[in-house]
Amino acid sequence: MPNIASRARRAAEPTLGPTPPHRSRSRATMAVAVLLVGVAVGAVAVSILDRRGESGAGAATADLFATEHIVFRSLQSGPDHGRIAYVEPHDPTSTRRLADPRCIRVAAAAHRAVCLRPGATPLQPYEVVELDQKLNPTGDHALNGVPSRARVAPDGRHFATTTFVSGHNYISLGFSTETLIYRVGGEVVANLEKFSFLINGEQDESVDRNIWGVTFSADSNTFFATVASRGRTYLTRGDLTKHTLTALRDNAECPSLSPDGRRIVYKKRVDPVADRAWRFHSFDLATGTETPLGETRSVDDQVAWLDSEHIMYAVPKAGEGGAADIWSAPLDGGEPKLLIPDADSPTLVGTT
Amino acid sequence: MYISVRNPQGTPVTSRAVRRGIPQTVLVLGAVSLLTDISTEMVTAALPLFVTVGLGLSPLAFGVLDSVYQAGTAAARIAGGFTADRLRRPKAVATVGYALGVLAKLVLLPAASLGALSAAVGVDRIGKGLRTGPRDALIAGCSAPEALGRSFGMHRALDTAGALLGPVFAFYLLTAAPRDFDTLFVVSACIAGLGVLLLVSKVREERSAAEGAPRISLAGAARLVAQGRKLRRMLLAAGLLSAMTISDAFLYLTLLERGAVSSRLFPLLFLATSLVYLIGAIPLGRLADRFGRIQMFLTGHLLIVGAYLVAAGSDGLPSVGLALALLGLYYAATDGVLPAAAATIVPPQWMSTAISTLQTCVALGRSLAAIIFGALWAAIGPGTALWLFTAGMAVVLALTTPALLRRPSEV
Repeated sequence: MPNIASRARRAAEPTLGPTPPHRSRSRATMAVAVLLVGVAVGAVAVSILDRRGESGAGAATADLFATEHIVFRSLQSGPDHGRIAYVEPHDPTSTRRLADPRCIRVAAAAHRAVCLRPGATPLQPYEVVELDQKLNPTGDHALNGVPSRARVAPDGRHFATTTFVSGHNYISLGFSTETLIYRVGGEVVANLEKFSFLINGEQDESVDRNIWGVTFSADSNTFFATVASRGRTYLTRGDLTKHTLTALRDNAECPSLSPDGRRIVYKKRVDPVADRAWRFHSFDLATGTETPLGETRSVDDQVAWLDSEHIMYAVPKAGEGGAADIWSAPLDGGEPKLLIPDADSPTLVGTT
Repeated sequence: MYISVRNPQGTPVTSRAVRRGIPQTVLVLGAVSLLTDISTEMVTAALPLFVTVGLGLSPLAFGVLDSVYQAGTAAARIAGGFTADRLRRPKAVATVGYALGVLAKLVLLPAASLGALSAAVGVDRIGKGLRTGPRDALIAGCSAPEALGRSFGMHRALDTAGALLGPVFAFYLLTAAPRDFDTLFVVSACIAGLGVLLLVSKVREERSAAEGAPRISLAGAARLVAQGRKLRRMLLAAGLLSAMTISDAFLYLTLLERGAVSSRLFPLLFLATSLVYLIGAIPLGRLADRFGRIQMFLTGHLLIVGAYLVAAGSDGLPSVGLALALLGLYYAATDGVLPAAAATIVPPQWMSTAISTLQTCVALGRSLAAIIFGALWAAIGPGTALWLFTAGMAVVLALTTPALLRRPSEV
């Protein structure tokens, strides 16, 4: 019995802890530990201090939705990084005016805006916040996943969000999206994954369907969105009351409908190599003709219309994580130009 | 207080080791895993946001990353186990594995493209693969044979606690410093660094066990598998049983699809499962020590059959809660218990290799299961797929149970 016990004890007590010759080693260990803690705490402190300063943000002015403005997310470093900002389209580089909410994605139309942002607790990691015409929050709803796209319908009755849902654990599902259409006030009126999807008049029954990037027409019942099914992407026309999505053409993502409802600009995959994957194309709904735009960089954004002949979109700045500028490009294939530096997520308001 | 336990021969012994508590090395290794898991999971939780907001890449790019996550582990696992045994330096190999975890977070700092990000994720997974087997061999080496289940249970509980805390850390860091991913990666690397430091300074490997044994070779590995009938059965059974498990993500989606739970509660499902695992790991490890580890391992799979049955009929929160509790208990009854069972039948000089190989069988089985379940989901729908897997698990369990329990002695 003592034999078993002592063997067990020996097994259970591996030689542990510093022995005298190791005293200097244990000091060194302590020093490295203190250094590591110091670096971590220091990094957080520097990051927080970096953001301190006088904020220029406040409630939006009354003219925001009354006259034309580009509403976007300001990425200038400092205390107002990530806040909603707006400028007049004819003078886009003038001093931007700032509103309080900080977002990951913002979209506005018809006297309201939605802001997709991190939630308040780890149990609600992301949320969509509805904003009134002064850009004050009127309500928030939990989002299931990382914010990706947002749009408000031109008549202001509905808005849409796309989030990127990732599985959590040993084997996850890879990529999946959730696209919801809400009535203003927060009621979810459609989960687009549940809509019937028609290709050439036939119902597609595949289960692994992903839908993203909604753009609304003027009546806000008809909308367009990307559907990915069986490894292909489709430009689809959706009907909110009939619960259908009808494929119009393939290889088209993140559509954006022109204010007159006649043309759509989307990104088309032109190269399977990820680095130069997409090119913006405009598509005439009446004639079915497709024209490439002059932007030759591969941009991953849902464009917004600046006027009837120009679109705008965000281009990440190379080598600077999280930094981006808003560019504009004409539909006629002309050169793109820088519109608003240090900004992304643009939409135009005050058009009607 | 004296606790009576059964030793491998079945006679009750009173062990001071059991009475005196869990070996300090196990606690230290648990703390190392806790820190490493906080570090890794805080990055994992922030990666989708980093990819879409920080890098401005499409969500689609993230699907590619996920497969990198999976592929890196299997080969590294066996290589890590074999190298640790061959050099007789499990601690050294484990240290390299944990150090790669630190490196991966530092690689993320200048990463501004998908390629660099994939490299970082790959390095992290290789590190995880390398360290798992040798680390478990260290746990086995310092634990009394009759308390292996409890030691592994303790380690897995701490490990799971880290996995739960990581996302919380990430959330509050990104609240304090919004979109500052660099700071998050620096903090993550520092936490992982503390783990490595703890491992290097506080864990001394137990050398006595394998001393005098011949140096291992690949031929020896073949002989071990060829002659070790118990080990062979265990490898086969673990692989087959794992090939009938539905990945957590798919099970949660099945619950979502049934309308048993709203998508708002989705993040809570993972939390609930992990909490049950965390709470159950030590008690079930102790029960495994007392009543047999293989028995506990098999019971765990009965529990997961129960989880699938409850999930298949679930229609509200109580049944969802029960399904998740059974799933968490399945992990508590199998994840640490399997290496504990293996540790009693494998010669000490083969410990790292055997445990790594066993875990590779489990991982490959689960990957296969995920592919099959995904295909079935698309072809015949989640409900039928769930029933097929439940039936499959019951059949495999019925076939493997007699084989695993063939010898009455503890396996």
